[in-house]
Amino acid sequence: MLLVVNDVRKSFGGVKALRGVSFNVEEGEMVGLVGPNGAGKTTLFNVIAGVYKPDTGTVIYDNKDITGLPPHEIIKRGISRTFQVVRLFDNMSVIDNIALPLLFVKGTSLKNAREAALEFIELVGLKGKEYTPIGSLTLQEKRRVELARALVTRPRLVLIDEIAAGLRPKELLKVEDTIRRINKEYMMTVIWVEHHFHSVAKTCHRIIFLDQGRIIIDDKPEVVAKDPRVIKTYVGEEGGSTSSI
Amino acid sequence: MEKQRSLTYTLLKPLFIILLIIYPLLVGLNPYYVRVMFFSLLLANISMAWSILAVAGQVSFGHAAFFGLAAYVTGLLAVRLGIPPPLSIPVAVLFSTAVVGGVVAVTFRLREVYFALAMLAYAEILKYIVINTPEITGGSLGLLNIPPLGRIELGSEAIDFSKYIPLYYLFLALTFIVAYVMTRIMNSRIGVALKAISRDELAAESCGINVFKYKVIALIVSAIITSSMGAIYAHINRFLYPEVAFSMEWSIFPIIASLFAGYEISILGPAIGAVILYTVKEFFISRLMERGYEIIYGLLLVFVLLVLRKGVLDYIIIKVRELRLGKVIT
Repeated sequence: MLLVVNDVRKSFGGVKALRGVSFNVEEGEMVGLVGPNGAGKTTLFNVIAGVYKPDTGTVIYDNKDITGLPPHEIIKRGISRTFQVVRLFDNMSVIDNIALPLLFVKGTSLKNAREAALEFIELVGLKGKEYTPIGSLTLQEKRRVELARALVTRPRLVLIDEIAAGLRPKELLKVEDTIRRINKEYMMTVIWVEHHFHSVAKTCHRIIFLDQGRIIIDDKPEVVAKDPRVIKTYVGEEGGSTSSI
Repeated sequence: MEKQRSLTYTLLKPLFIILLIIYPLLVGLNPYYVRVMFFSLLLANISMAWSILAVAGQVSFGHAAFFGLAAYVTGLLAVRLGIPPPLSIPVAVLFSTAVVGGVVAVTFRLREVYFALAMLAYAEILKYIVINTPEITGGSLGLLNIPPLGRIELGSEAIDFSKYIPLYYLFLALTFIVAYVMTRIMNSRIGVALKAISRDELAAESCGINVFKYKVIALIVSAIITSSMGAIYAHINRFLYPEVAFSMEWSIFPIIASLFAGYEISILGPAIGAVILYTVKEFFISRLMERGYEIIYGLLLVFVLLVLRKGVLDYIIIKVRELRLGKVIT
């Protein structure tokens, strides 16, 4: 087992963001993490990535307890992430944003880090924009820079947070394809937080549905798509099927 | 991450260096003009020191704490214990860096205005400790008769650092050393980390940067330089008063110089800003108005921040790059 999240609880004042979340992720899996706004998806990412220390519970990665380790240690262990709200360094170019983690995670020289970054710039479709200042990119391009930055250290586990927000159907297909490539060609395990249920269902091996800080269902996409609680969240009280979303 | 070189700097830097070297000759060895310039170099070093911490995202309003504490420690060691300046100065620098630096490092949890105000408070606390311990520090009456820096014997010749010309070259050498070290730091992995931290600490952490570690490195560098200037100042001035050693000017002037010239593109910007602002103030503004020159500084700063948004030098560098690359760089 690559990742074991065991009974993780996290509160902010009186708000219980995570109420005993437990799940496992196998090496090579693509897991979709879905749920309504405020379900606790990003909080769960922040706990795994070391931004928040859980109130109780443990996060075991590669058979080692990484609970509460700071983010700069977590990435060194092989877990990297993107953010729901893009967090790039606007005083650097595209290539330097992407190359930067290699300097600090692997100790690579700047020249070699830039060379390594080129492969991931191509993967996310930003070839030709290597030296473009971050300020001149569109939001979607910025999201792709962030994804490339998360991949450049070749982590074993990537946490992707709402990379497809605001995309058109054609762009959505590209993102799905990129995530499949990350998993198949680069052999990375993926946990993908996304609102587009249909995209996640098409792409991932498994879906975890989170609501009000609890896991409601954790199963194959076709099973999760038929769960009445999931249908209620995504389609509403009237019924319907998530496969049509 | 790119080495921040531009045509402007390539041409201006050697010219600026040559002018600084021959400056005493240009002013006919006039002690007043030489004194003004070495004092501007002292401020240039403090401004560079301030800016490295600002690049790390920690804006300090209290660098006077480092300056004043180091000045008092070396003064006390020299006056009370008779320790010569070559020994008392490094001890004072280490002491000030360790004491204030240790307290400030704890304060790194604070950011922006909270950190700035905490720094201001440290300088004020130290000032009142000095005022309220007259039996040790001389209190408000000051610490007098601090020995001068002394002389270096070179065979039959001697360099006397109580004279303005040797002092000028001492400060010029120190400024070159500080500028070189700072430039190397900013072009190294540390500089890359600091630039990342200045924009987004969480993103920097998630890229493998130990934010606290790099902030402490910036703090230590900043503290050592500022403390060194304070300690040397004590032996030049030969007396210290709490209001002078912990004066707000040591805290505010580096901010004005750094914002005026810009500190994000080149660490040398604050140094150049300090020299320009201080010399212009001494040679021109203070001749026109004995007091209240701060109003001119304030108006200048408002103009720079409102119109240019970045400092003057940063603005020029960006414009030159735009012309060379033919594209807009924000």
